[in-house]
This record gives sequence, structure tokens and C-alpha cells, in this order.
Amino acid sequence: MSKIFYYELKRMLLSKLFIGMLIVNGVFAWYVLKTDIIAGIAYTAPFSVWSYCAYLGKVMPIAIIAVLLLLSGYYGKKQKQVEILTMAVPVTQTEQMMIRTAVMGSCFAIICIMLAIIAMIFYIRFFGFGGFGSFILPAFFIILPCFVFSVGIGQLFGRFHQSLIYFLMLIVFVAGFYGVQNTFDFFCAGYFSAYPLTLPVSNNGEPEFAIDIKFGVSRLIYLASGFICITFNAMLLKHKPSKA
Amino acid sequence: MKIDVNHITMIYPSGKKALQDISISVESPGFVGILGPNGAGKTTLMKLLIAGLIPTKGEILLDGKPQLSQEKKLKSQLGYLPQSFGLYDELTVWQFLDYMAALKNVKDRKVIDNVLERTNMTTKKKVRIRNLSGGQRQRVGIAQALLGDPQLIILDEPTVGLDPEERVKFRNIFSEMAQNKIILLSTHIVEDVQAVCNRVLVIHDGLILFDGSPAELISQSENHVGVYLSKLGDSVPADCQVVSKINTADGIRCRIVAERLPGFVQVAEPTLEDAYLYCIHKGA
Repeated sequence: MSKIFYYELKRMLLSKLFIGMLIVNGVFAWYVLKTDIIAGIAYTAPFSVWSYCAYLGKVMPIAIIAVLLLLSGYYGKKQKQVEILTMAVPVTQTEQMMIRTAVMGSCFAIICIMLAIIAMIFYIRFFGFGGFGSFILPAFFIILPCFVFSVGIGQLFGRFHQSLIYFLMLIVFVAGFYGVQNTFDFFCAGYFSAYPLTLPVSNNGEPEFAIDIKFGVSRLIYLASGFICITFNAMLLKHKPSKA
Repeated sequence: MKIDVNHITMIYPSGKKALQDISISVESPGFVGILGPNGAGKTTLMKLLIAGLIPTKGEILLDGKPQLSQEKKLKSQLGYLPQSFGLYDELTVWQFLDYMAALKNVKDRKVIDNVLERTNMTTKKKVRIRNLSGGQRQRVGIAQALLGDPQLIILDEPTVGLDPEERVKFRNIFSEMAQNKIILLSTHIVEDVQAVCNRVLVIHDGLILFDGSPAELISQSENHVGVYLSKLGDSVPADCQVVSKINTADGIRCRIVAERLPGFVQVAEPTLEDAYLYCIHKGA
């Protein structure tokens, strides 16, 4: 399995699409930091956990669009032609799908690490700030549900038609830039911009980092829904195609 | 290994009837050639045999057990070359075969070198697949089908895109392998079947028109193949099918097959190609 994963990942990482999306994500992240985050979010410091979470929420739509674009490659004509060979092997289609999901996860992780490094460079260069430890847990809270849910829905859509993934990308784009600011805010940028304003200010001049229970539940719902979609898609793969 | 196809019917969701109540049995060692025109149902039969499709009716047994319950076993002993397929262009030939070997649970890397040698691709092993010619891509396809010494080899038009010399070479490789395996070869090239197969299936419109040895197929068409000299503009006699037309000094030498040869036609010794065309002509 590790060799299959290695080749699948290698193909993905060396693709022009991935390198292009990495550049786009990097440029956009720097733009967000320099224009939005530099002033701080909800009257907190630019290097507060609130601002960092808002930063992740703002760059997440482009990162998710990158993942969906990479995912769409698995449902294209070229891949289907290769699958004619790979369906006649003992490693099942479900196992192959799980490997590809892991590949998508790895690609997304690389994008997220790059986004984190860009933020670190920004914080060190402009504020001399280096306390990144407090960012890690909230970051997972934002990026994990986004990834699992998007990949799950993307796999399900892609199974029916590749173009449905492009439609999903459009929804991601619209939701990312014109999204809600309530507890169901998928990318969280709106939530982390609005919620601190409702909290009392502590001794350090800004609200302590905390999230409300409703928001926490919504993240778990997104996460669980994504896992259900991935599992459902794996179950569908066990059924034989009925047409040539 | 033994495969039994029992009363298989395959109707696609579009309503197209690809196979109608087909029954065959194949046991190793055996080299079976499957002949038929485009759309006859050859590829559908191949896909059913690799468990890539579920038949509308009937069942396929592998060593006496239902094929779907034996899918893992089937696929671990299967070498499959479809009619059209894709390769990962960004990988080198060796990397792609290494990838396919991993999917087939083949751990010995010498196997890859062995199939590269057999398919005459050793010098191209470091070349990216995107830089290969059509014939070389076909050879990569054949190489991946040979990985892991499969007991059942299903080849759908394997010699398409190969030059005549390579075709003969691959025919010989397949023939050697058939000593202890089942090989199913679907092709339009009658010559390939004649050279290597000990059994022929002729499929037309989803029905098996013939199942037997090449010699039996030829004997069926005796007294149904003839030649005559025709002049430019002459029409073909009714109920006859022209096999070939050769321009000679005396006129056009026509070779025909028919259920009843016209009186002016001289009876000729049938070849397998004549016999196949006669079989299709009779079936139609």
C-alpha cells in the first residue's frame, strides 16, 4: 500500500496544477495578511489567536478550491482510462479510493503548512512575534472539518460527474467570500471576526480565546458529515458498474 | 483453473443487448481466440470475465464457485489488457510497472525487469510514458498484463499498433505462456488466432456462432468458398460476400463466400479468414 501511496502522491505533487495552486495560495495568503490581518481582527492584535483563526478562515476557501481541483483529476477521462487497468487488480477500488483520500490529505497538509509558514514569516517580520504554540489547536479546529467535509462531498459529486466538482468549487467560492457569520460559518472567517466582539475584554486588552458550544457542535457536524460521505462513497464503489 | 459461463445475458441500461444467453467453459491450459465484428459483444464478454460488469442474467463460475465471491482470487491471478486503456504519462515505464506491481501485490522487483525484457522495453524503462509511441504504449500495456505470472490472461486486441515483426514476437510469447494457463485473445486479426489458438469462438450480435478448433471452423466452410474472374463494373453475385479482390492481367480475381456458390465460381480451399467470414455471413 505504501508504494501505491508513494506513486499517487508523487504524481500529484509533481503536477503543474498542484505547484500552480501552491503559488496561488501563497500569494493570496500574503495578500490577506498584509491587507486584513495586519490591522488585527475585532480590535484584537494581529498576532492574537482570533486574528490567526480569521486569517485561516479567509485563506481556507482558496485552499479548499485547490483540493477540489486536485480531486477533480480523479474523475477525469484520463484517470478513467487508467482505471480500466487498475480495476482488474487484487487491491480493491475501495482501498484505492482510501489511498487517494490520504493523498488528498497529504496535499492539503502541505498547503496548510505553507500557509502557516507564511503567517510565521509575516508575524516575525512585522511584529517580532514567535508564540505560535497557541495557534495549533484552533487551526486544526478550522481546517480539519473543512477538508473532510469538502473531500467527502467532492468524492460523492465526482462519482456522478466531474463537472459537479467544478460546481462545488463555485459554491465554495461564494460561501467563502459572501458567507454567513453565525455558528454554521463553514470557513469560520466571519465567525472569528464577529464572535470576539460579543465577549468581555480581559486584562490584556482583548477577549480571551474561546468558542461557543453551538459553533463547536457545527464543526463536529461538518466533520461527521464528511466522514459519512467518504464512507458512503466507499460503499458505492463495491457495487459493479452496469455500463461499459 | 476453470471458468464456466452459464447462460449469460447482458443488457446495458441504454437497452442495448450485448450478449444473449452465452454459455462457454474454459479450462487451463487453453488458448482461446475470440473473433467477431465490431459491436459483436467481445469486449462485454471480456469485462464480464474480469468481474468488471454484473450480467443481467446467468452466472460465471470460477473453479465451480460464483465469480463474485472469488473476486479477490480471480484478480490476483489475472492479467488483463483492455482494448483501450490509459497510462500515467508523468511516470517512467519502470515506475508505472512498479506501481502496477504494487497493485497486483507483486513484491519481487525482478519481475518488472523480466516483463520489460519480454516486451522489448528494457532500453525504454527510464523514459517517461508521455514520450512513448503508440506501439510502445501498447507494449507497456502488455507488460503490465504479464506481471506476476497470471494464470488467466485476457487480451483484448493486444497487437493493435504493433508492427508485423512485433506482432509475431508477441504471438509467440502468448503461445509459450499458454502451456499452463488460460489465455483469451479477442482480436480482428484472424491470422493471430490461426497462428496460436487451439480454440476459436465466433461471436456476432451477442450470440456465439461457433465454438471449436480452427480446423473445425475451416471444415465448416468447405465448398462455400470460391474464386472467379470479374471485369470492372461487374456486380457481386447475390447472397455472396466478397473476401478479397485482386487485380490480375486477366481481370479482377474475386474470392467469395456463400451458402450456395454460383455455378460459374470455382471452389477454393478455405482459409481461417474465409471460414470466419462464412460463419458471420451464415449467422447474419
